[in-house]
Amino acid sequence: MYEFIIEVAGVRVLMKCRYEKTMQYMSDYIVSGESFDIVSSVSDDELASMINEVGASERNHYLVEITALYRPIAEAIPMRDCFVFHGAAIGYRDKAILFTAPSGTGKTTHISLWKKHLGEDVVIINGDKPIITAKNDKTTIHGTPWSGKERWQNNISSELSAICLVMRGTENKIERVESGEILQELIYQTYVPKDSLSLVRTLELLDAVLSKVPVYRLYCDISKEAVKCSFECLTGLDFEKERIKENNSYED
Amino acid sequence: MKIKEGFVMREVAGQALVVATGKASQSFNGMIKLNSTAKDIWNLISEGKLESEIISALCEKYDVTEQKATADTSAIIEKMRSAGVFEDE
Repeated sequence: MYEFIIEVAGVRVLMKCRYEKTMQYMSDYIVSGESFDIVSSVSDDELASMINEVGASERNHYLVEITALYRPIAEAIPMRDCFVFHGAAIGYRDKAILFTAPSGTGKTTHISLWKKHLGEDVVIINGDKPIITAKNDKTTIHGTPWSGKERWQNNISSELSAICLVMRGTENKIERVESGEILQELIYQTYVPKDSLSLVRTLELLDAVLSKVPVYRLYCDISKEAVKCSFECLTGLDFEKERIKENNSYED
Repeated sequence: MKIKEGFVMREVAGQALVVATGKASQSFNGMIKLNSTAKDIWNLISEGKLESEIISALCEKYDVTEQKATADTSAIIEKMRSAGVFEDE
């Protein structure tokens, strides 16, 4: 067993794992010191049944362990004013934007387009399962090791300025929506704890977040226009001014 | 009609959601979304009101006929009952 302490969203977690690769996966979050707030481990039986469930080959057992080790954290952190949310979070200068959508809708693609057209000012916070904190009237989004198959993550935190639900569309369009209008979609992307106190706390935290952070619905394709559309609405900046200018490149 | 211990209502983004906690969560998973009428009914049941009292309260609060309020109340209570939120009578 490997034992080490990671810090995510300001919470210190004692991790217990079997695979060295699991520890390597979390290396950006490992901290020194002895103290910790919560413990995350997975029993042999639980792990075996999860491996069975997904039919993972032996060389991928560590990936199942990584997934399994998020659950005790996701269950415990609502009591510390944090919850896990499925989405892709980026920073742009002083703003942080959380794109969310059911898997396979294209949020990763959309973020790639931001990177392509806006360059270094776009910083990935987390590509799959960031943590949101609602504390002292402030909503913060935090990087975590759990970052999907692209492993897009950075150990950074930023104040969340917008949540954007991504939908596929034939034209590029973004609109501000009342969060109640898309509550169902937002709850689908929220980690819903089995533990009942954590569950109730999660609803309270989600409500606190939605009362502060504006929510948008974006319909987009995979063109440059799609980035212009979301970028200008979400940042209030002029896309033509901020975008990377390609030298002598052919543009359609 | 008494709501089982453990069922809790919270408002998220202006929408009322009911979830089961503690022992109640062993028999109920997920969330019940209440519209504003259902939320009123939930609150009135929590205060121990009878179905007839709920109907008159709704008639007083909303511009609705007694007939419609009766039908809606009964339908909503039936939905709650089938979700298992009430103590056995």
